[in-house]
Amino acid sequence: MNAVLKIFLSMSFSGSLLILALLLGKRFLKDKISRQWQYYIWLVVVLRLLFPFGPEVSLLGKTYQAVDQAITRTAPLPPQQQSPLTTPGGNSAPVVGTEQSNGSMSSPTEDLTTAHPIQEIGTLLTDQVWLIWFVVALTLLIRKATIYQSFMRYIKAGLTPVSDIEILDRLSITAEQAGIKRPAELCVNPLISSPLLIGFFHPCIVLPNADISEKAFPYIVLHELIHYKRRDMFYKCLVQITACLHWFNPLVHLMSREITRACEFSCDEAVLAKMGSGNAQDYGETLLDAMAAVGKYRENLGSVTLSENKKLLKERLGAIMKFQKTSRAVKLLTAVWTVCIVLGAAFAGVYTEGNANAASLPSTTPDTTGRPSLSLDVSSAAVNVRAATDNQISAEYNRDVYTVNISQQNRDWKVSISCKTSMNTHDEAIRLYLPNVDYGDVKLKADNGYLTCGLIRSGHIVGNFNMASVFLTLPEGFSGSVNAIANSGYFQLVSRDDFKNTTTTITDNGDWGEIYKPTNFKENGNTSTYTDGTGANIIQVTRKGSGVMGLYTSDDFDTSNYPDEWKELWQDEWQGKPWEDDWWQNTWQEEDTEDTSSTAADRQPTKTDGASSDIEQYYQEGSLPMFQITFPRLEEEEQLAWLEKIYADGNIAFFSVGVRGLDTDISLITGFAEKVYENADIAFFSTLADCMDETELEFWLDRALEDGNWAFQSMLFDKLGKEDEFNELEAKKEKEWAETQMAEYEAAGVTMVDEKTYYYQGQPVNIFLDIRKEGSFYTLNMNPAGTVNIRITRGADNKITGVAYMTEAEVAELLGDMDEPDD
Amino acid sequence: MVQQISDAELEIMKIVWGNPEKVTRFPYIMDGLAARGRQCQKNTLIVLLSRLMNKGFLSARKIGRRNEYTALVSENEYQTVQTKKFLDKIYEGSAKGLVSNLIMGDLLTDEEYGELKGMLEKGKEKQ
Repeated sequence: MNAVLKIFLSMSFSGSLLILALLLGKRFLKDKISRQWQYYIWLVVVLRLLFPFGPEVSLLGKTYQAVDQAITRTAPLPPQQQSPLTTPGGNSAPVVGTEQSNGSMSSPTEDLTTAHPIQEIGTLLTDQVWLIWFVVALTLLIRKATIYQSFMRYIKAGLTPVSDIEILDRLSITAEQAGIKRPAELCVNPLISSPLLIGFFHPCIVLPNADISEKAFPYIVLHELIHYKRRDMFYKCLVQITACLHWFNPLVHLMSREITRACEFSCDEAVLAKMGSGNAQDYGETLLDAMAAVGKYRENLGSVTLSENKKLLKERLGAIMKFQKTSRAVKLLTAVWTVCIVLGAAFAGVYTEGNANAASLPSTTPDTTGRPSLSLDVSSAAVNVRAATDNQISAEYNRDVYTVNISQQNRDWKVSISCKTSMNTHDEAIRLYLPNVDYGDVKLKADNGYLTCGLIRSGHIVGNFNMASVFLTLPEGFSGSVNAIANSGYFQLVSRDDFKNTTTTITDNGDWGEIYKPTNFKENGNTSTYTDGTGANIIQVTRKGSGVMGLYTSDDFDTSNYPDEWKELWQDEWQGKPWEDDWWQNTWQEEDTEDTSSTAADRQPTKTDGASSDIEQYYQEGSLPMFQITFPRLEEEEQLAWLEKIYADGNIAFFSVGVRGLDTDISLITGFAEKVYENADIAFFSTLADCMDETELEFWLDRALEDGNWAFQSMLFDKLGKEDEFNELEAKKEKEWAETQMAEYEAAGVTMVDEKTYYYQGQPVNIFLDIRKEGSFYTLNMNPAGTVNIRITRGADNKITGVAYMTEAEVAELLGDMDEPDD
Repeated sequence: MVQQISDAELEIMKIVWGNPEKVTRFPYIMDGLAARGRQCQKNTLIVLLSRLMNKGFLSARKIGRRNEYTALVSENEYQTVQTKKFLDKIYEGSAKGLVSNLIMGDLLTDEEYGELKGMLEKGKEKQ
């Protein structure tokens, strides 16, 4: 609908040019050129204003085209973009850069971000602006129509037909003289002030009263009849409609007034031409008489009156007196003028849609001089990049888990994110807010983490992803380049405008894994290419190691209508397996909690049978990242079964990934933990403990304390962050134990002096050996100063039964044992 | 409802009513007006005829380039309506007043009086 308005605006504009030309011409030629011509030439302008026809090549078409280009070129680019375009080469580029960083570092970008909502409102308004135009035009038209109707009712109310045959005859005679075939009705209405003509098809002359002097009557009637003959009512009607439609153009209103004047002038001229110029004075008197009784109702709308107003009348009288037949020279001049105006009208033309389409300019790789550069380094963390509302980089995250360093100096912005703990549960994603501006160089690095980013609309993106799940979305109108290397893991690149104006190259240097790409990519060996439009935006992605990579167009990722078409699209890529609904949807949306437009049900990972068959494959192939992605999608029973299987296989890495992939509801774990605890598999238990809450941990700790399970106690204390408590407990226990031990030894006759030398029966002990049952624990103390070798003997119940001197053979055995490792 | 018509229009109607033929043509009316000493312009007559058509007195049928006019209101009907109006206006609806005025004012000849008397008697017999 705005297109119609566009055309109207262009018509209004070209019409305005003509109006100005005519008004200017009138100033010089007013009295020389035929009034008739002055009246009818406006018709050309009115037609220009109403009808959007014109030759192919038009002046206005050209200008609009230029304007359109200018708009498309400037709109998506920031103001600072303009200056580098004029500075050639790299020499001057740094100058521009410093200028900006010296001046005001954040102001251009700030403008951009704040301008965003205003732009949106702006586009909304411009989208609906035709409605404003339409409503006003319609209102004006209706108003004019009702005013005309009420005026007609007013006129017809007091209308009495003239029955005097004499007067009727005089009218008939005048009409015949004027060459009007159709009989005109003659009526009297005392409500009006001056004679007028109504009726579009059946003319009716209305006089204020019947007693008009015989001398004046023919002039009055002839004037009105000529209005009728020339169909001035239609002309006036057309002008009124034009004025309503072009209500916003003051020049059109000026034209409307000008036409009304020209109408009366030319009518006067026609009357005098009929009656002979000798009658000019009589005619002038008639006009003056008509003037005398002016102004009971504003009759000038929709009807043609004899006199409009005083000022106009004065001019008309002047014109009447100066009336002369036009000369040949004037006729020639008039002809030339006419040709000029008509041609002008034709070639002023209108703006047409076809021109607009041709206007889209090839976009070139953006000059990034002066833009901020961004470096984002993610290590063992889940990061969702979002648009910042202010112009600052900020992050929302759990300080216990992550370390986030942000440096926003000048135009060199750096963010590095790492994980404090070695075990990272991904359920605590970091929200990283970045200014939504055009960037220069963008470095994205992700090691063993999640990263979603759909913010960068311009810039040169270099990505290095290692064992990570990266979801990079290029917004519509992205300009710049992408060079990404994904080493294992999952990398997804979505182009919202379907790789428009890009040269995209996918290189597959990986081993196990797959690449999903749109079907229109051309495959050649291990590379696939796609070129569109200007191909100015270079996108290069490389797959390494084992992992999955996916390049998608916007169609594939429209949550509302993806189904059948792209099922087919991907069928081939899917190795003939039945399509699984939502699979990719979920993998890419998993971390994208910002996308609240889709319903919660959509985002909830739906667990499908397909996942369970896939996970087998991933497990067999040892693809940890894929296993990690797929595992949360399994049914609970399956998850448990898998944990058990992995546990049985003793694969701690997969076990750890699997446990982390469980829902936050850890009721599953509790049963499992029992088993692991009983098997004293401390490494596996530690993984489980990562998912436990404090009460759960306390429970296990209590149990470990009860069982005297030192290793578990130590680990659990660590998990609970109570290492000190554990150490204290340990020291205390040790002391207690040592004391009871000493008491036992003393009972058997062994004493300790200075806490290092044992005495037995008054003699210092050289070798002291106490082996407890089953060899699980023993105490060995050697003192070269000692003279005897003793050995504690214990009974079946581990109680000390006595002390024995060691034989030479025993000593040799013991020392031999000890020497052996040295060999 | 029979509308009021002007004198010029009544003249035309009289010519139409006076025409023994069923339809009346334009030249007949033109000639009739001339015969009555009320010559007028062609266009004037056209305007008057169109007024009569608008008022429902005449209907026109176009045959080729000629109009054939037919009276929709008979002379009798017109007279009755006009008389009733006259009665209402002058005698407040009393016909007796009118007749007595006619007799008293010597506006009736003896012959006319006898005829009227005969008409009254016929009317009584009918009832």
